[in-house]
Amino acid sequence: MEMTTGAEAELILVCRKVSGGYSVDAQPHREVLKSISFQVHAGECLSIAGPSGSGKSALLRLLNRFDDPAQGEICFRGKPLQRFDPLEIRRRIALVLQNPVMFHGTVRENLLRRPGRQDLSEPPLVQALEEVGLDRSFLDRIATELSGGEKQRISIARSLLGGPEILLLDEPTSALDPRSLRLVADLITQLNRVRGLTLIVVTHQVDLIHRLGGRVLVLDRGQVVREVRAEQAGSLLEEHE
Amino acid sequence: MKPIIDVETLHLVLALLLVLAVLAISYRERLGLERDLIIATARTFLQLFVVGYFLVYLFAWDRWELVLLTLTLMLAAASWIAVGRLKRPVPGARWMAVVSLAVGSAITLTFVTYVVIGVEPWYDPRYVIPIGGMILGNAMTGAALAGERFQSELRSRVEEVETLLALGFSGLEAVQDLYRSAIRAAMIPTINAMLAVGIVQLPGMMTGQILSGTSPLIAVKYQVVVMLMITCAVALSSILFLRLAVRQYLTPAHQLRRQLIL
Repeated sequence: MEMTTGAEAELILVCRKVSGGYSVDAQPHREVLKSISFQVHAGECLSIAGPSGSGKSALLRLLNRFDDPAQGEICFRGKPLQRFDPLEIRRRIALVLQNPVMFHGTVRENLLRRPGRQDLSEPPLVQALEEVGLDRSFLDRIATELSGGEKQRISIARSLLGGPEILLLDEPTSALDPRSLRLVADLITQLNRVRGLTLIVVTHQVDLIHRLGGRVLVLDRGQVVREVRAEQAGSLLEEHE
Repeated sequence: MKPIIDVETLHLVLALLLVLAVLAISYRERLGLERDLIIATARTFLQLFVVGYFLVYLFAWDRWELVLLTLTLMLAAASWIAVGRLKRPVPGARWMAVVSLAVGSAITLTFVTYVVIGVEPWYDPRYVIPIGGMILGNAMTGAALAGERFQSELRSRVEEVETLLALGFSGLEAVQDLYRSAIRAAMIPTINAMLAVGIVQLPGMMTGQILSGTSPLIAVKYQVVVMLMITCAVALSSILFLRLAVRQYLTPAHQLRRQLIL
């Protein structure tokens, strides 16, 4: 089943028969993924769903080269990932991890914790905060004292400051209460619709999938078992739980 | 000066009464230490007497080849023990320990014997062997501490490291904080020893020198040299060892080898 979001949109990411990867939660072992193929157009929002242990996170970690596949090929803008500098790939394809890590110090210091020489001026920081629904008063708050939802949003803002072309989100709302889930889901949707950012979101939460819309890749035991529209995902996911 | 009292063999046997007393206590209090105590006591006698006789011959032969050979064997043993103390040594840890202990100890030992003390001839086993032993022993503990600490830090802070990698930091940049705290952990016992030295107890070497009739002031000078050289050897060896080991946790593509830490 192949669905596109307009014929003119560029293919930004293509996975061809990708196998391998490491599972993150369980004992790490090879060959989590079995011959996975899919493609993503620029500006799309793709959800990757499936039960725990199905290889969702293992797949996501191949896309920013946290791991390399044992077989198959992943292309970013038509060029294999391996042919890029891995550090450049991680700035252009930014991964936001499941548990947001805040470093000691203020939100400002956290937002500036990026490689290379930093532009210390405030406007880009404030803009990044606003994109995740927070205001400038957060800049001087102690990052480790924020709530879970706020930390998750700061962590997204920190990744946005690198100017990514694709944002990978690993279970962005799994640790959040329903209210924070809605907030984070809405701002992720905004990033896609308003900023036009390409999103790949790993989640097992049907609620989040519905809010995001777009296509859903359903994984089970390391394989793509279905590719559906977000509206159809609910019943399908329960089937595979 | 009064001649030094040699401990008579019969009296040395009497010292065994001290351990016998502990054995009796262990038995009565059901500490279950009897077996270990007996083995440990026997090994203490055996190992030290073997070393003692060996040193007697080594001093008598007085050949530089034998001194270097002895130091090499000590280096091999120290590397072996250092890696054995790591719960999950990284691949190649053994040769990393050999290289780091060899370099760290050789620099320190050469400087101390040649420049500071001015040993004549340069290989005089009476100086080189015991000083080399102290340097190697401490360097070994330092390298093992640094390695162990780095691994436990990595295990508990893996998400922090991955966050930095995901932001585009290089592998070495991402583990820099962990590296620093591992080196600090390796150095702290040595620095604490320098702070406390002489206040409660006299260090073993100084005690030995004083007991064998050396003037306390000479013994003190030697002890100062010992403390400083241990600090240097621990720092050099643990830094070198960790620099080699850290690379094993990372791939050239700045990926974390999770299978080594989980």
